Amino acid sequence: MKEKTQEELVYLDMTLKMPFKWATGEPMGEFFRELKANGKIYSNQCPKCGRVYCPPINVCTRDHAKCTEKDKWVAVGPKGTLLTFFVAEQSFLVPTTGEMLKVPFAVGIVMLDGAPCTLQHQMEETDPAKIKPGMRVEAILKPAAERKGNIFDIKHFVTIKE
Amino acid sequence: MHKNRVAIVGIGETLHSSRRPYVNDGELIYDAVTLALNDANLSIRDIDSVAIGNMDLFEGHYLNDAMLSLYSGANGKPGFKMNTGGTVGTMTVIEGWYQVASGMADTCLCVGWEKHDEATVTPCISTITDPAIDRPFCVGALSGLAVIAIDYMNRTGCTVEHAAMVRANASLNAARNPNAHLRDKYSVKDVLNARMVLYPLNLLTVCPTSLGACAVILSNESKAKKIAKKPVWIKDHVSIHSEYGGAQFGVNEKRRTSHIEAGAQIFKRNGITNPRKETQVFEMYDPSAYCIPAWMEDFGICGIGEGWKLVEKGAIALESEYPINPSGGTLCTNAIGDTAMMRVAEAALQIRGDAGEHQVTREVKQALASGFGGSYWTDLFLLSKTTD
Amino acid sequence: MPERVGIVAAAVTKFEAAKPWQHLAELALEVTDKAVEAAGISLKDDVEAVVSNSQDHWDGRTISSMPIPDVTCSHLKDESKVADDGAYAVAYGAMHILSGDHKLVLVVSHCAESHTDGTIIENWSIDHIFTRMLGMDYTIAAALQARRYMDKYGITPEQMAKVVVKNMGNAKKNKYAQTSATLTVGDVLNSKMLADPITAMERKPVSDGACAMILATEDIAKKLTKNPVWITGMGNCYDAHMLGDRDLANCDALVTASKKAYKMAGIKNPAKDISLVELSDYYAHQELLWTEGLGLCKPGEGGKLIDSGKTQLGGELPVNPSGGLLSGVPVTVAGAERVAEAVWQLQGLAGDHQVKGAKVAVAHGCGGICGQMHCVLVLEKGGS
Repeated sequence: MKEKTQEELVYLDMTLKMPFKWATGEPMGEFFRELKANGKIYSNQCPKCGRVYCPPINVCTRDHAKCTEKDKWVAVGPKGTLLTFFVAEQSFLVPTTGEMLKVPFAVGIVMLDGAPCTLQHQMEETDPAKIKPGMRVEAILKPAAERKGNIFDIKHFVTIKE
Repeated sequence: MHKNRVAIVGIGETLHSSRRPYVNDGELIYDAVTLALNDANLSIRDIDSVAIGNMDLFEGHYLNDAMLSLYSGANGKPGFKMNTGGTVGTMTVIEGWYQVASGMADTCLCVGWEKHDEATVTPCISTITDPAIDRPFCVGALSGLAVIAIDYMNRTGCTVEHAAMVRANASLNAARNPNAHLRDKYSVKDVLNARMVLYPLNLLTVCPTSLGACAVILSNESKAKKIAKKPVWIKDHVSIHSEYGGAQFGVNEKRRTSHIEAGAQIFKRNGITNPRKETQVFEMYDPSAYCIPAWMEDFGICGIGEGWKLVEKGAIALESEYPINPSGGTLCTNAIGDTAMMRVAEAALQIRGDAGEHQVTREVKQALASGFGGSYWTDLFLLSKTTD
Repeated sequence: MPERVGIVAAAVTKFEAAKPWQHLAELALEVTDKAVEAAGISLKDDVEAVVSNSQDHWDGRTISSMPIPDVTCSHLKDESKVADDGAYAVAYGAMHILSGDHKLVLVVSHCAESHTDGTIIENWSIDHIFTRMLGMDYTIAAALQARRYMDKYGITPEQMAKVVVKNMGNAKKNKYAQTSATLTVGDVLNSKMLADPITAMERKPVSDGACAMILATEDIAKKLTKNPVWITGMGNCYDAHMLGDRDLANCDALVTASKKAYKMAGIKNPAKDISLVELSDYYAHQELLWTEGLGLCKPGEGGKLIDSGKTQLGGELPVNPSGGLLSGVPVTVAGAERVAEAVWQLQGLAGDHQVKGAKVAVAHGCGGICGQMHCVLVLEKGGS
């Protein structure tokens, strides 16, 4: 059979959308409630091995001990040390919004002061030449009136001089 | 340990490309299956069961093992499906291995594919993250790979030039592999000048998205000896997953990635103390050029901090003492559902001496093949020419 | 089978139409902890491998087993995810042990259907070139199947409705059941028509939940419990995908799967040799059809079988004494939960819905359009 030209081929175009409403569960829900109400970033600590998790989780991933007692929750940061980072220069489709990513887009993985746990979030600085692992950064929160109880209540990390 | 020996008795790889608008996904699978059956001199009737691997979500499908059962030959047969991201190709071979090793099937056809020209990959990969916490801060597989690269450079002194050397070397190998996707030869300078995608990954130092399919036929020992002149034995395999919370791509405290764990387990179990001498080739899943030196170290092929130095010396080239990815690797060909399976298939071809122009020069008695995915999920295979 | 895989313990969450206070990983955590406690083992030290079971589409997360190592203490351990119905996951866990690769395996399955719209997901599983754009979902496809089944064999709407009456009545005795009710055939037939002849009560409701179980070698199972349950037979099979390539009034794939499982288990006469069946009744008519495929009656006699009363809780061969999927179990978890219910029957732990003297049970899972793929496990009571 003679191969058709591309113009003659039959294509089927479909855009598929799936709506979701995910349950965050109690520990994560509490993390967001504290962010919204008090502008505090919380983490919890395993009572057995001392490993710290941010955001908080139910059990230690290493020894399965319960981490959910309220007295084991600790407010951490907002300052911290940058472990590593990435900067996106080419735009991509964002699955949650269906829109193209605004680039350059920088994200830092930061070890927050007060407990050795890490949080990922956007960085204000987007020039990779100006970002180095080991830098000191600070999480800037949105003003109370703008906070909704999700991860975007944190606006971004800014580099600080210390 | 493993009671029943399992061999690879048939291998089929389609061509890989960016687009193949003349072929639908069923036809693509059928191509790979036919190639594997022909290689094994079997018909689909000789196959007892199937193992299917594909990222159906990326292509806009659900349960496509069932949807495409006609093309894989699954109709009327038992089978299982996996869709575990980058590891799906190796997990599919493992799926097949369990079916044969458990005695539930004598022969199993493993098929992995990705019809990338119909897939929306990066946004879908971004959904590996937790929707509440880090999904907005993930750019598909790229951001995790960038983190791995930056961490490796920071820890060991590897530079972007070393990554360029890796890619240039891979291009020479892919030029000799008719089934590879990106087959142009590049110099180190060409690679350094490629467009930046996500620092430090540029268009050439990160893997492409390719479309293609791979099929591998497994058999138990008694049938393998009848079917294949050159069965390749799956001597051992291990699958190691990592936690998600606090994982951060191996950047956290007391760095012990799933690669480190996998290499340690396989080599200990098989009495291997010097993998660079006791195996002759490694088809490593290399989603970025930085992964090769970084993971040579993690797997235990060389010491920590030594990987990029070996690259600098040309010690991973096809003609070298210990070639890494003579096929061109994932850096030149990446159809997610088949990429990791291609590592197993290519390592098996090397053992058989059937890799054509990209065959390594020395006899290959034992080979390693790896799969990688998620936030450090590792599969590692040890393949062998003989049963001892 | 040369040696036997033992199921030591099983656990489920209570099934509910929505569980908004639990993250998906927390569902898996709940059943993992319950199963581990029931088995009397250490999650960290005794479990060698985890077989997880979830579907990316339902979780809205690719590689949906990403959080599983966190809640199953399996960082740097073997964890694999089966992307089929939960019965397949149990079979896969059994193969881990039969291969000699592992001695003790945790199987954990989770799904929260309330997080998204299942009809969209079902539509995605349908052939995209010819059929998907017709707007089919599984209920519409099931209606085609039911209509064909009725036309070929004279199955009546009343016989189909009796399945719902039976199962929702049985569910009243099941503490984990999502819903239960005392119904009449008229109640079922008068409920809202979804796709003729399937009414709202004849379709499994939306459900959230999870299931886990501990599988072990024969030696270890005997050490851990006086009442191990042996997996003596397994079989699974794919049918054709395009509905026109199958006679929807038959279920050839189920026949093949069950024959394989029965042969392994040494079951010659299913209708006599089996004490009870827990099958996957996504739709009322499918229970009748699957009883035929499982060899409990001749082809076309599923309606007669339910009329006979044999499959009632107090009958000769109870089918779905737990209340089945019609009382509310999520997809994916479904097949694993069928196995769990069968395990409890054989361990004498089924409480008010216990089938007396249960010795051999069959658990059935299926998936895909009109039950395109089936998995059958034969289980036998161990111990005294």
